[in-house]
Amino acid sequence: MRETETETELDVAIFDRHDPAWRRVSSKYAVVDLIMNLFFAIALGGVVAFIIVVSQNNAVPFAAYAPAAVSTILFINSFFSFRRVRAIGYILRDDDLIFRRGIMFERIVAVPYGRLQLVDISRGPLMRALGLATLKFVTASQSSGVNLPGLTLAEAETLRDELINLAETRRSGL
Amino acid sequence: MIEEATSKDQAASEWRRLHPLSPLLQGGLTFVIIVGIIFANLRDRIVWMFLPNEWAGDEAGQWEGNDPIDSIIENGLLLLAVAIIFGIVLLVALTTWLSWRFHSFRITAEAVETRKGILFRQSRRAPLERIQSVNLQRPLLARMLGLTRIDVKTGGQGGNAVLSYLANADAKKVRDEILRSAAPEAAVPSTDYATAIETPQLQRRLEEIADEDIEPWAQDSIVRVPTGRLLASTLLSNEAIIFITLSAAVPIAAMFWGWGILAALIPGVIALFGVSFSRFNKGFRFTISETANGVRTGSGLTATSTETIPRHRIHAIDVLQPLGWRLFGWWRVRVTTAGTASISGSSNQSMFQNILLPVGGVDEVMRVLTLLLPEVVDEEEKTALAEALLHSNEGYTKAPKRAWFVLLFGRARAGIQLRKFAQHHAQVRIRRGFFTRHLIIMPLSRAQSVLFARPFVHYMLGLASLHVHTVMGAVIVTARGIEKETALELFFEIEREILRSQYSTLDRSGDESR
Repeated sequence: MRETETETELDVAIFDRHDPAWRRVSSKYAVVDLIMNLFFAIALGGVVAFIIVVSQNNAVPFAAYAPAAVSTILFINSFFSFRRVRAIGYILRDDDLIFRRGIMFERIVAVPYGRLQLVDISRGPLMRALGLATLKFVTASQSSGVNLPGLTLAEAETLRDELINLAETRRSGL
Repeated sequence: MIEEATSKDQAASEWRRLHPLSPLLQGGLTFVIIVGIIFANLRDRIVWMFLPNEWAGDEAGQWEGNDPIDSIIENGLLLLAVAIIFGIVLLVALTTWLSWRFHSFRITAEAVETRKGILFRQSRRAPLERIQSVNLQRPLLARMLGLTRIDVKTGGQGGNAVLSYLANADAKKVRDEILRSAAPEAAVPSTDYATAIETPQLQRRLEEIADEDIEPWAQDSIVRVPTGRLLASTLLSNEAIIFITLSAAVPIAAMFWGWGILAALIPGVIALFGVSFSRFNKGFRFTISETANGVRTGSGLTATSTETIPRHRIHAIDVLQPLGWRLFGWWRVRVTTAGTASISGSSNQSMFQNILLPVGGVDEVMRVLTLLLPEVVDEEEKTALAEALLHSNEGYTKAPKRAWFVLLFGRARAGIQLRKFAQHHAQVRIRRGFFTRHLIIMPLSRAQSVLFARPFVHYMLGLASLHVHTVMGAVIVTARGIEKETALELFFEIEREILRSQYSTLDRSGDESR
């Protein structure tokens, strides 16, 4: 519809996750990510330790394998917290929102504004402590699943209003 | 009453009543049970009444039975009993009449509304812009009486507005009225369903029982499924093949674990039979034909139902071929429509709903696709689609050799194509599958969002997958194992086409999302 130069440039920019065209989320969110990962890693580690103590054998029982594996994965995962949060980005284009996250599990989603059904703001206790919020976009599809975590509350609220506005005009006006 | 109410000169928004027999049909089961109890208690006497000398009576033809009637007469309670029965009949008649009086519906410019209940009033509103399809259902008893139930499907879960029951011809009129109000721009012509009065009553009733509910002008568009083919296709379905494989595996498994393994298989076998039977039942006497702005499917043996789906409510199309059907070159066509797949529980509902062709050859598939996508399926397109179904993925973005690790044997068939048409129409077409072959067609004006993803294995191999999201349903529009760079380019091209098609169609057909 609007194939201006900037849009083509944006298309190119999106190939590169380091491009400044991506709007980033607060790096404080990496702390949340890190704490959550470590918390569950340690909790599951505790479960493994408990199972080993209870079983009173030298061999590690089967029941401990799964939590041990998950705990290890979460632990390794926590090393990448900062990198992972830096990989989260979004771009508001004329007619759609583009959102990306992940490096080894990369996802880029494009949602036309007209398809937004509702925009949610949610805040867990940890996020609240750091003054952050998660913006959640819902379309009629179950799998669109766009969660934009780690925005500051003010940012999240402005963005929500902006998006609802855009969704309204795109739905009826065009 | 009904004839008056549906006549055109009355305001469409007026409250109308259903057919006077409908409360009786809704309580049909209760009625059958009561008759059953009476018959069970008085069986001997009823037999004696018709055949006095043969079985029940003695030589003189006198009644020698023993049933409640005797004890009532002996105790001199005859008058009381008659009074009680009379009272019950009166009460039933009164409540039936009242519930009929209190059950009404109307079609306004915005919604289909129903209200019912005497003490507990219940009213339901189905907004016209949310209507996904309108079904006419005729269970056996209703079919005998010439009545039809209307089921108005909205996008929500379990939010159907049900009008039960109306006389057949009235039901069709009301259905057309609903569809007309729901899509005023589509100019649904009003078909005259009134059967000629000269036709004898009995013949008219028989015609109604056999009625396939196809628009008179759309006779050329009908695609039918012969029963023999349906039966053969059921025997060659994946379910049947799984069943045969299981049966063959049982003796071998029994050698290791003993025959107790049979018990473990029983639930699976029942499920397989259930699926096959439902498929068969759903596909029996199947027809699909064109209507003013969509398609109408009809099927059923004892209970029949026809479903009218507006074309713009079809979100994605899947043409698939189970392994066994390759023998005869048969395909099934199923689609996604909003609100039919339920979030909670019965996921197998969507297996049987939204099947627009239970089994058919390539020619029939093409005819169905022409009904679904009339604006884009011309002769050239038909050739291209048949080619994509049967032969090569020429013109499709193919999966590179290393995609074997994610697609296995499905690699050879895999492919994705973005097809653009005039007036901003565009489709994504995806070929995939090894055992069961698929060709997925998704009109981009219905897309919710598009996703470019690289899960771990894809990431390691430099591959990517593309997903076009639709409302929840049976058809999943996903292409895996594409070259990363190509996929990203395609991603943006698809998104551009989505925006183009949606912003050019939004003003035409209103809110399409739900």
